[in-house]
Amino acid sequence: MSAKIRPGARAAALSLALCAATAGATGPSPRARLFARLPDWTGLWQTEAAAQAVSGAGADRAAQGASSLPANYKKCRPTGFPTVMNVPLSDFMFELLVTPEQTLLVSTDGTVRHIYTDGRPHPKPEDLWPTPTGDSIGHWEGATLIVDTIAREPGPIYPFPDSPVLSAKAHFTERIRRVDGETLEDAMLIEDPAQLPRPLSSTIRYTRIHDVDRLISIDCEHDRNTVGDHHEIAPPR
Amino acid sequence: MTPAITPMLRAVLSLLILLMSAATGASESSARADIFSKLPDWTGIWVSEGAMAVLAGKPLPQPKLWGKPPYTAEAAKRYASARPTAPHGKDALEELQRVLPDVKVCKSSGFPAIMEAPVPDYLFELLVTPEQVLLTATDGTVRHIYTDARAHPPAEQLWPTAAGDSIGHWEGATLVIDTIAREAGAITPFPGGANLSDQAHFTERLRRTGVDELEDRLTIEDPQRFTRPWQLTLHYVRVHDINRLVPVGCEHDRNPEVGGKFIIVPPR
Repeated sequence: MSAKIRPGARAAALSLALCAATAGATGPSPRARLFARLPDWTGLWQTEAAAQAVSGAGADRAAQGASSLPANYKKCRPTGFPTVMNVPLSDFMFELLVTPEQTLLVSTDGTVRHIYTDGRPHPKPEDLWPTPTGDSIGHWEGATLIVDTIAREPGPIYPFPDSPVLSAKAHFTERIRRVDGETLEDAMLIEDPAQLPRPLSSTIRYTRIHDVDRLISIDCEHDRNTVGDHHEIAPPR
Repeated sequence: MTPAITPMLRAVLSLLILLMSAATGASESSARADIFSKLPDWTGIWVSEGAMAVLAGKPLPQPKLWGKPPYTAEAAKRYASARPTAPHGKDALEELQRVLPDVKVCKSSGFPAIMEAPVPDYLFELLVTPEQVLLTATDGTVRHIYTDARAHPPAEQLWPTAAGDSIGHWEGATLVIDTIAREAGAITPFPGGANLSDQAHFTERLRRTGVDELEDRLTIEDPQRFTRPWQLTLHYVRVHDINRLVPVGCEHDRNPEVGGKFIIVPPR
């Protein structure tokens, strides 16, 4: 005797088929479904150190830090990586655009980081050359972005006098995540056997900015982005 | 014999349909995801049509941004270029390269120059999100086009920048962009183009016209220097032989164009 489909199972199968057909007809594309699963990192962000400088709580410390920077630090040139991730100055802000193919960081100083998340590998060694931001690829573990960066041009990690110097073989790993509605975190590991006796790890936190609503590039000629106890626009000169 | 739909079966079916709807909805329920799902996909690397012609060894078509703008008599007297026409034709690349060392000093072109860069290594990406469309180019130019209904900043909070302030809205799959507060000066970093005041107002209609084509219908109004709006249509093609955006780097650049293709030259 052949197996018969019981009436209940037939009805259930039909409803499943109907649901599937309906979802396929009106549901979002695969790309849109990917986007829906990504975290929302919209907004303007700056380091906690910079935020403290704005609020006045860390103004003295920020002033000391700023005075140790080279005189030509803010010369309308992008700071590159990893400096852009750890600037204690309050007019250095960034946005993060999260799409299925890449997460892009763009900073007021002009630094742009492309972190491709669509499964592509780094370019082959013969197709790589050192750049200020290196080559970054990433993947998502839940709502945490794991970033792998190589081919960053050699030089000091940060533009401070006592910063360690890295080779072009330095390898950076980051775990970037949103801690809460107002806080992002970047746990960074720097490995460079040629230059560092052991890997350097640091955790940098960022605070959401509320008193500026769009990213305006630092512009040495016209800049009116000042800081009091919050970000302000100075009157025209 | 048709099976009877018993109350128990009806309840099971309803629950099943409810669960399936919830499962579908939960992962896609956010308003933001809904907005994204309706936006066009402009993923890829793009270059101006003129630059692609140069790459293919063809003569450079007359760049439109270097054309003759509708100057007032006074503006023409002051700003009309002594250069009769911009470099174009089969020797354009050679002429461009003569002026290029002064231009390619790791400075971004700004707007609207980046929208018609006739140099093949000036490529850009467009990231489309619910809040903004962001253009990022190999020369460092970044344009934020905020599409979340925010207005331009009030006049007292605006100052001129290389890219101006851009806001936009979608009409179907066409992005309509409004840009103001672009700093006064030459329209492109190459000599011979128009010179705009900081009151110039730019409107663009940017859309994909094919799988591998974009079009930007640009209108420039400059009440201080023009007699009428200046309308230009710019075209872009998709780049296939490189797969990521690498900034133009004066010290290490290995991204030249040879034989009509972008290639990576061996290290020096």
